[in-house]
Amino acid sequence: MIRVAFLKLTSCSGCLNQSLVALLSNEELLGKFEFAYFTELGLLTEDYFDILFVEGSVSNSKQEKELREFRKKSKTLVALGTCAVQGGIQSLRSGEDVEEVKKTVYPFPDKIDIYSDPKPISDVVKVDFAITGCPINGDAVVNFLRKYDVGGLPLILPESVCCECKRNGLTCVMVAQGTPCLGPVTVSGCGALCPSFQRGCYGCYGLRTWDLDKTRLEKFFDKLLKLGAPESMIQVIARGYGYRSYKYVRRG
Amino acid sequence: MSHLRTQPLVRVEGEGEIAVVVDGNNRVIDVEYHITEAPRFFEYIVRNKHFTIVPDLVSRICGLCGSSYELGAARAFEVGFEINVPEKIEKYRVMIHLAERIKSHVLHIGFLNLPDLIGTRTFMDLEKRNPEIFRIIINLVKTSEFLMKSLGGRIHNVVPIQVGGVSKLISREEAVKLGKLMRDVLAPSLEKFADFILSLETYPDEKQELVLCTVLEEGYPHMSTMIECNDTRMPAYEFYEKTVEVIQRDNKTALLYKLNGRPYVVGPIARFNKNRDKLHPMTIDLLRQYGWNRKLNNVFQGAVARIAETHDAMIRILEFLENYESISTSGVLKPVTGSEMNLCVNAIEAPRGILYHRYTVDKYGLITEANLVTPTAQNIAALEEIGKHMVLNEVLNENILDTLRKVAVAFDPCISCSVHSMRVKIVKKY
Repeated sequence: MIRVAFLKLTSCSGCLNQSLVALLSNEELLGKFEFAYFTELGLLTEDYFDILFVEGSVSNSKQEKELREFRKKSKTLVALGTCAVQGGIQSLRSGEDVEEVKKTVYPFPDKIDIYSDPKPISDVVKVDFAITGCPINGDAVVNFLRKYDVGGLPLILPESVCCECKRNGLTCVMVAQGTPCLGPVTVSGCGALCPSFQRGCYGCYGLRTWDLDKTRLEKFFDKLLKLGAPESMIQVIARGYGYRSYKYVRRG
Repeated sequence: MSHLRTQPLVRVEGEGEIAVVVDGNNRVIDVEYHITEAPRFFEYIVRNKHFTIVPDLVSRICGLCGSSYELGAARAFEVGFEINVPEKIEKYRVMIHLAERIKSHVLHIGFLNLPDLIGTRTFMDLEKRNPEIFRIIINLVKTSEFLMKSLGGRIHNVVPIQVGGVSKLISREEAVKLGKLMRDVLAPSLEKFADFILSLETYPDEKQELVLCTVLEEGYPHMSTMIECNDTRMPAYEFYEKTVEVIQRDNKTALLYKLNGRPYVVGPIARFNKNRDKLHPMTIDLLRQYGWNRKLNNVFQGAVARIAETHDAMIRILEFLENYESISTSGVLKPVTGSEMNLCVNAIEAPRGILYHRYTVDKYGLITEANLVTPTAQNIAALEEIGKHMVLNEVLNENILDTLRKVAVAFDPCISCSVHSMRVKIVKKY
């Protein structure tokens, strides 16, 4: 049996639930993979793991320590979801004064132990594979486990949500209806969900970086604003879901 | 001399800890349930964001009840800006919400609660002990997943719900197909599962005096701007902003909520005990067959309320799908010309209880302030009181920790909902 662990950091448990449902729906996998550590199921064996899935970003020293310890016990580490891969939606507070942030929520803000910016897990440990999404597509986890079982890893196609729209035969919501859509700059994997529901993508799989540069990205954002997108839509990808990539793209 | 002993809280959503304080004779003198979840400051990050994108943002608060957040927020803005959602479209959104209730309850009973009821360590042990129920649970999870995906695109962070309506509805053909699948697959599995859960004789029966709060509605509680607490009724705004006390304990990220100094309970048991006569007649029949058409005595019987709600939701969705008419959705969003400061308030019954939203929006449509109160945050005080009452003055042993853990699981705390209220009255505990 291949031993699998699921570790949760700062996150919503959504990717864990998605993985759990996907795994339980594939009986042939249940015969090959064994859940060793999964607090939601009450499983707490901590000796060693073949695969460690990590959900969530790192937002305090306690989590950082826990993550390092789990990494030592694991052969392969998979970052699960946009939070683990890029920092996630909670990155929207990055760059702000953390003391101010705490004050908006807590009567005693100084008691709260929290980093000023949430970190993607690759800031702390070596990551072997990344599955992005908010939430991840359960099929991606199943795909990963099947490939792992035969000794390989899934191939990653560097493409945008647009490619999925084309493959699914969907009419472009931006071209045909003038609906602002982040699909062209967003990592694929969801199956073009939002356009299939007649709305624009809002970037929850994170910003694509392979072939974007600062000028082209800014031109694209300008276009969205002209189509009537609220400024917040751009903030959600540039400072939220795609925070790390955006910082990287802006440098180059 | 006192010392503190903690153990991780398992079989709950998110991360928490139970702290038991004992005296020199090892007797329990205090119990605290801690949420160790790191906060994500949603009330801060929605600030300065346009209200139209807020439902998608707040749905990320919870990986299990995201649609409650989405719909709750969308409705808050619709109330605040007087946007009318056509009745049929509203009904579609309610169905997504009911589908989520099925998904969440099935996951809770099956994966988290059932091991306590039948005395196994985890859900996975069930595979050998009762393979039939194991398969049924998996089957229910799969079908509820399919239902969520068909209506909302994915299991959580559903796609179509937007301020003003939905972006797209399924077609009549899709609805009929889905209805058939539910009748053929979901309904029989759920019947067997209900039979199993309602026939269990392992529920403790001692009476607990609970203050029960729900949203106030004509039908079974769903969504409203009014709250009912035991027999007192008041607007949600008054209840959450002026009446309940908010307490932050030392070094803790979770806030506690109390009403007149007392804990109160939200969620399935509150909805069931106050409104079970409003469940679908077929559900009431089902309960009658097993002798459960009565008030539940304590939180450990919560699985009964969850089964009843799951059954009720399934029948309502079936009826909806089998009588489905396609509706055009063109132009759900209206441009908003709000006043200087708009107050947008709503309360929705998430699977675990009342979820309160309050947003203040400026004339540009940007959020200036938000207050979100989650069901679990409201239940923590009650959870603690009940747990403490059960073990106080007993000598510490493994059974005590086990009891305290069972109390937590019975409440189904979803501590991933790491948003917290930002106001107001501070009560010193010590």
